[in-house]
Amino acid sequence: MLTIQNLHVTIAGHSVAKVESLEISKGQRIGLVGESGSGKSMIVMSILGLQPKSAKVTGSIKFNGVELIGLPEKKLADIRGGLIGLVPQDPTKSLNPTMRIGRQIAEAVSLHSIDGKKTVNRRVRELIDNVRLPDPDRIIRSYPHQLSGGQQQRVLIAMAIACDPMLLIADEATTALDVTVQGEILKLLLALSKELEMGLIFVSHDLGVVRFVCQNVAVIYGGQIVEFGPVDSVIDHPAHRYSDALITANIAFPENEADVARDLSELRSIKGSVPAIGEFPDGCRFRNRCGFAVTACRLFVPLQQVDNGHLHRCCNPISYTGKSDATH
Amino acid sequence: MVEQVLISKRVRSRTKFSQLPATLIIGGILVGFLFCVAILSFVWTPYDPITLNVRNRYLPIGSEGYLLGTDKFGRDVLTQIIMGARNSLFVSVVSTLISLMIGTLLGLYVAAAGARVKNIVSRAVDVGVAIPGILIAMVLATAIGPGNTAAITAIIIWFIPVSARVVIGPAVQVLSQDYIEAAFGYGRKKWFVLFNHVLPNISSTIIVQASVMFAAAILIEAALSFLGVGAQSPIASWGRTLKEAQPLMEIAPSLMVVPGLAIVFAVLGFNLLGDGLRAYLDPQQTRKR
Amino acid sequence: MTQETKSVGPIQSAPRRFFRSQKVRQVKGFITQGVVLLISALMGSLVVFALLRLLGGDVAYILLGMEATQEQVNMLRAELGLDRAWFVQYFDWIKGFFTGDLGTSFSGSYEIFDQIGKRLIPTLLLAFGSLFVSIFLALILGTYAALNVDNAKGIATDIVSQIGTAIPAFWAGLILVVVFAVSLGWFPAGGYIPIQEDFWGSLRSIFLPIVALSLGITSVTTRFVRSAMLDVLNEDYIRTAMAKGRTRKRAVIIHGLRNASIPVVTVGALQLGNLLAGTIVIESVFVIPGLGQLLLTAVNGREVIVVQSVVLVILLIILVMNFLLDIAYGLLDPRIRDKRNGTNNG
Repeated sequence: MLTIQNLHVTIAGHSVAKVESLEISKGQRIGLVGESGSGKSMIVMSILGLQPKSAKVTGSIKFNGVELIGLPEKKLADIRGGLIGLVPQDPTKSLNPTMRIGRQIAEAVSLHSIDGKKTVNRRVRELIDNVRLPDPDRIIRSYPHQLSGGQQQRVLIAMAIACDPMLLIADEATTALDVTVQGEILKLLLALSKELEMGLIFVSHDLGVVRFVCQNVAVIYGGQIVEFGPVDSVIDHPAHRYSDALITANIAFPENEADVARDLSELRSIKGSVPAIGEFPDGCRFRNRCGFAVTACRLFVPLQQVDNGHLHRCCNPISYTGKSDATH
Repeated sequence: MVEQVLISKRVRSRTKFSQLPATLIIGGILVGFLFCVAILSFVWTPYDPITLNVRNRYLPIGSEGYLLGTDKFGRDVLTQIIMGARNSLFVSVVSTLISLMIGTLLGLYVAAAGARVKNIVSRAVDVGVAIPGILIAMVLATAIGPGNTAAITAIIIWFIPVSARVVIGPAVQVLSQDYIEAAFGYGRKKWFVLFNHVLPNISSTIIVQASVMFAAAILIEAALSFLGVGAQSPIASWGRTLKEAQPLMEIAPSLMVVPGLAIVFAVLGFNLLGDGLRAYLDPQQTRKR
Repeated sequence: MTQETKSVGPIQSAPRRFFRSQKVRQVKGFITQGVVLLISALMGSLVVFALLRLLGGDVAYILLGMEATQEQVNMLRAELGLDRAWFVQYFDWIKGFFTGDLGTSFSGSYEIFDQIGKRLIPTLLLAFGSLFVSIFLALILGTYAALNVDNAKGIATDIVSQIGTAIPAFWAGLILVVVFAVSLGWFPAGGYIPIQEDFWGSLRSIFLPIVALSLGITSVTTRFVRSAMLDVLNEDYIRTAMAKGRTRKRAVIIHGLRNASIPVVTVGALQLGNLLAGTIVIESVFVIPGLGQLLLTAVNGREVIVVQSVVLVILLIILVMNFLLDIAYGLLDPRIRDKRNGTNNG
């Protein structure tokens, strides 16, 4: 359904995101995990043409055969919301502070339909109910600042799924929600994906959530996919050193055997910090922070090494048959 | 953070001329030209601004010997414009500088004062800013008679709340910094801190504001002389020249064009200069403009 | 991470009671505002009065000229009521102002309150007309400039608005008269036809003055709208609207305009002084029988009471306009509304 090929996003000449190939089929749910600044938001924003003005996008993003990059704005606007929905980050800033919520949700509904007011209002209430917001009358009449962050985020989710899109891009869509509500929202998204064959690109740094919702996960570092594969396979048996470090750093309590098998004797964090744009080392972008870098890592690692549905681009990956040695 | 500041200072001192903002250059040229003309007028003008020369009146622009033509008394328009420049600059510079001094002192005082004083003065300043300068000028003119004195005094009164307002905001911000607290803890007195720490940090704001105020003063001076409340004859003023040209609209319309253009260029010059200074002195404030 | 507790149930009836007390609070707020307005006006009147009395030499002396004898001066002072204690003069004046009796001018040729009343409408027409025209045009031009900030059209608009702020209103008026009234004859060169007499003629007579006055105000306001719009353009909610399916332009107009208008209203309030100042000058250019003309003649004739009164009226006009803009601000921004009413929920 969605095919990304050779996507390259640059800002001021510096490479911010580079995806050689990524595909999502109908009803498939893919997670995108990575630290802040890893470029995951840039990748998903480019799909809809909502990247910052200073960013240049080249490559190909085909949606049901239609090339999205360079598509005239009017056509792109039809696809946005109608066929591809977006739940943006930071709910507090993503709603118009001077417009009532009801009207904002109704906008999402009516932009892609010719329904009359009554139908639209009914759909708005239906959506409010779907995202588990109580007291729809109050919500419809309220302004964004009168809602809590979590409520705002649910409104944004409601707007994104309003037209039953074929693909939903959720950028940190559940971070502001407390655990019970989060669970319900995730169940809702899962249901939509399964019943309506809605594809899902779920950007998050919460691995537990990603494991729950997604079938596959891509680990992003420095704007590149460093590892990709079935969610359990990647999280329990990561091959790329960065994935391993990220997952380890994220685990508070071991959830299964694989977690237990990790050495959690000390609180791990990844050495160093994400370099600024334009300051990545050549070759493997992670090599300066990696405890297992070898000489091969200095070379450009373009193609991903295949390993039965589980891809990565590490020159010194973790193997689960034997141990691999640290080089420093 | 410190490195950033140091670096930006180093870069700035080596800024090439071509990297200065365009507004600054254009504004600077216009204003510089204006000042030169005004200063020159003390020493030389093409013709004597006062003597009448009725035989040569209403000459059009480009006449021989009279670059911009003559007015209804036969006086050379160019000379009148030059003298008008002198008057405009005189009024605007004097009134702006004096009001800035008073307003800055007032603003500094209020910024360092307690919450109650801040509240009352802020409200008073808000009201003061809303009162049109022309109104003040007319009140003064009723009291002490029309003329430049009334104009200058009125503009000063009008500008004091404006300058105070411009100063209070940034001054309060600077005063909340840690190093100010340290200075006080070190034993420095209030006014020492205000002058040596606060003032230098807000000086760029004041300079930019001064430029804008110069522009506003020129406009109001012209308006006042147009109404007859400002500079009186025989002092030349752009506004009054326009007023005299009004009944001659049909005979010599060009008399109306030149003084107006002079006003536009002078005001534009100061406005652009202010914009340019703001862009140059405080690059953080300027977004994508 | 915010906790979300939604309590449903017994709180249902609270909103009704709540809204009623909210209305009461709103009305109270209005009344307080009105009172503050009056007090500001009175303080202003005091200042004006004081300025005139303290600085104004001896009006009677000036009116009679240098050769007047002390006796003549004293007589005139008594006649004009200038020999009374100043607070008596002040209260008398204020009383007269609000009861409609300000006496006759020093020159004796007109009833002061009467003249003010007659001239109020043309001035208000000019001032309010220009305000609306300027705000309307500024919103359009400013949005256009912001949407086109990186191409030639936007830069051109920027330059034009920059020049516009430098053009004095009275000069614009003169040029407009020369071109459109004297040469082309489309509009009258001056004078004012009251609305009651001839609707279209009245509009024609007020058209050029409003254009002249609006030029400067529109330019300044346009620059502010452009700046506010540029801020809005970068806001996330514009991106959300685009994600829903709007094109950038429509997203900006539908969502951005209202948000960008908020700082514009604040700026409009600051422009009121310029607006009224310009009104006075434009009345002079187009010979419109408004308060400005009255003020001018009064200044020349040292008519202290007239000047006081007209200045007070103009101050009141400015304060009222300020008040109205304040209301508009509350209408535009629901966050302020809640803050003012103390109903900050959420």
